Amino acid sequence: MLFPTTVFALFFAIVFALHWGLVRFPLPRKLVLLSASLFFYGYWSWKFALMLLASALLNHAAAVWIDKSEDPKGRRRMIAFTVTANLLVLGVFKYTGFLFTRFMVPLAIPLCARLGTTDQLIALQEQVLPFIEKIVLPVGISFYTFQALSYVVDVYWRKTPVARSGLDFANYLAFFPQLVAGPIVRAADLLPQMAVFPDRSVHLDVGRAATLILGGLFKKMVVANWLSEHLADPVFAMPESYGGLDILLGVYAYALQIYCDFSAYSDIAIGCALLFGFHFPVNFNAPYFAVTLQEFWRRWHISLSTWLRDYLYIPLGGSRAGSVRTRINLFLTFLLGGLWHGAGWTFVLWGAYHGAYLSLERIVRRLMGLPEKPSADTTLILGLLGRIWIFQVVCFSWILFRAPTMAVVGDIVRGMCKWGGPSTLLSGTAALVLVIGFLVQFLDGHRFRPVWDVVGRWPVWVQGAVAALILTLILGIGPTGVAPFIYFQF
Amino acid sequence: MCRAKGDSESSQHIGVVAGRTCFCVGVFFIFMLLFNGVAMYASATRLEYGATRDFWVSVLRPLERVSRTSGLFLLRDQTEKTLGKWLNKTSER
Repeated sequence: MLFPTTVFALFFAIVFALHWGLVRFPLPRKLVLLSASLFFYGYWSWKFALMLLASALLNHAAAVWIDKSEDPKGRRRMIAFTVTANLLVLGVFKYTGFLFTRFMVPLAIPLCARLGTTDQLIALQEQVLPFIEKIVLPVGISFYTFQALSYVVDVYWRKTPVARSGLDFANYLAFFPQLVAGPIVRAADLLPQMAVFPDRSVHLDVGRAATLILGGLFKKMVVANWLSEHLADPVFAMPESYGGLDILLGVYAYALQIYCDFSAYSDIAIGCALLFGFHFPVNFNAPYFAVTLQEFWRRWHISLSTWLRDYLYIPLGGSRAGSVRTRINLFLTFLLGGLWHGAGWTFVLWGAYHGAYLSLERIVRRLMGLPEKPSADTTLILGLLGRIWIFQVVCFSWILFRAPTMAVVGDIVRGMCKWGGPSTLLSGTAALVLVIGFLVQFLDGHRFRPVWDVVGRWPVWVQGAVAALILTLILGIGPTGVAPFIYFQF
Repeated sequence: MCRAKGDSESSQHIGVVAGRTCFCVGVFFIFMLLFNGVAMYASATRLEYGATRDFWVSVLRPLERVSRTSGLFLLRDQTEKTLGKWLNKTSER
């Protein structure tokens, strides 16, 4: 079920009414929310919903066992088993095809040629490939697997108390606004909210929720879809047909498209949750305003960055074991972060690029005597130059992220070097949409607090009517049809 | 109620109580349906023939009539014909 659709509007209206109508009945209220979340997820496939439910129950059972056990060895074995089982399920669905076709077969080809068993290899491929093709990646599996992992690991570390019931945990894991593409909300943040649902006395920040939802819909339906359809997709589909300027436009367009697309989902999720009385952390904070790549990762997909930091980088040793080890840990974290995004060498390279650049950035800043974090009193010119530079660095990485194959990456990079000839993509509208795509970053974080507060003071019926009016304008401006969110594939 | 990290603490008492929020959301849906009734009906008629299409067409037909009679559909209609068309036209290069 996609957010900007009639079906979702109807679903939301029903679940919202039930959620607030059942305030006096805590258990049915929780059951309704879980059923709604499973229905939302099961709208793609009921098998996915069953899998999600099984994941919730099994992870909760493991967490309860870990919590109760006093035997350190037993706890260690159980956490190792649970983490492995979660990663195995994720791996089977996400990486089987990649491992077989892009890793094992290319390795086996020269070996089989030497041993004279190429025919057997071809026969094996013919037998295995149809089976692999049948594996359908459950949408959002990476997100809820990471949430489940953070919960059991936090319980193991005794950082988070175990959920009061399987129902609370299932509601935490399956809560529909953030189920498919995040933000990855930690158990410590959301579980207490799932244990005691908000009652009618709670004050709901409707102004903020409306701004987030409508801003998100604008970013997705107007800006991201336009940039995708008219600049990014054509360039990445046939880079050889475009000159350097057009390719550069396509890359910039993709950088802004992925930001508008993904941050839109997060915003809509946060806004919807707010209307249900639940609070999620901010997931984007104007990432293209970053002066360093490190700062970029503190502003981009914050819930994933902090997840990788807490559950991968720090357990690997973090920055505690010397500068060389720190750089290796950083590199490994981003390499695995890249692989989390998708099964393909381009994603691995994307992660490696970020890891390598971050390590290099640390060395260069240290050699130049600059503080690790850019200071707030950086001069305007230096700040601007830093922002422009980091935007180029990130845009280059998006080529690896977006291109389907390394051959396309090569075409894009070669094409960017070929200047001359008229541009077929540059127009006033393209420039306008690109600028808007950049400026919508001001919607992130709490920069719009004054606007939320003003909206919050209007009579509620005015708020509702104005929100409907703005939504209608967005629907009227946006292209027809509904494009899925980019991060659904991860 | 617990709040997620990153939420501004200053916003703790901002907003309206749940009952008024429900009213606000109700008003939003009523206006949303009135503004978009005609477009939603047109969209439903473009669905593949079958039970789903029949359901949505029968549900949205009365709404389409109210939206058209009240004239509120004009907001979406005119936006599509002006801004929407302009944005799409320049893109069909």
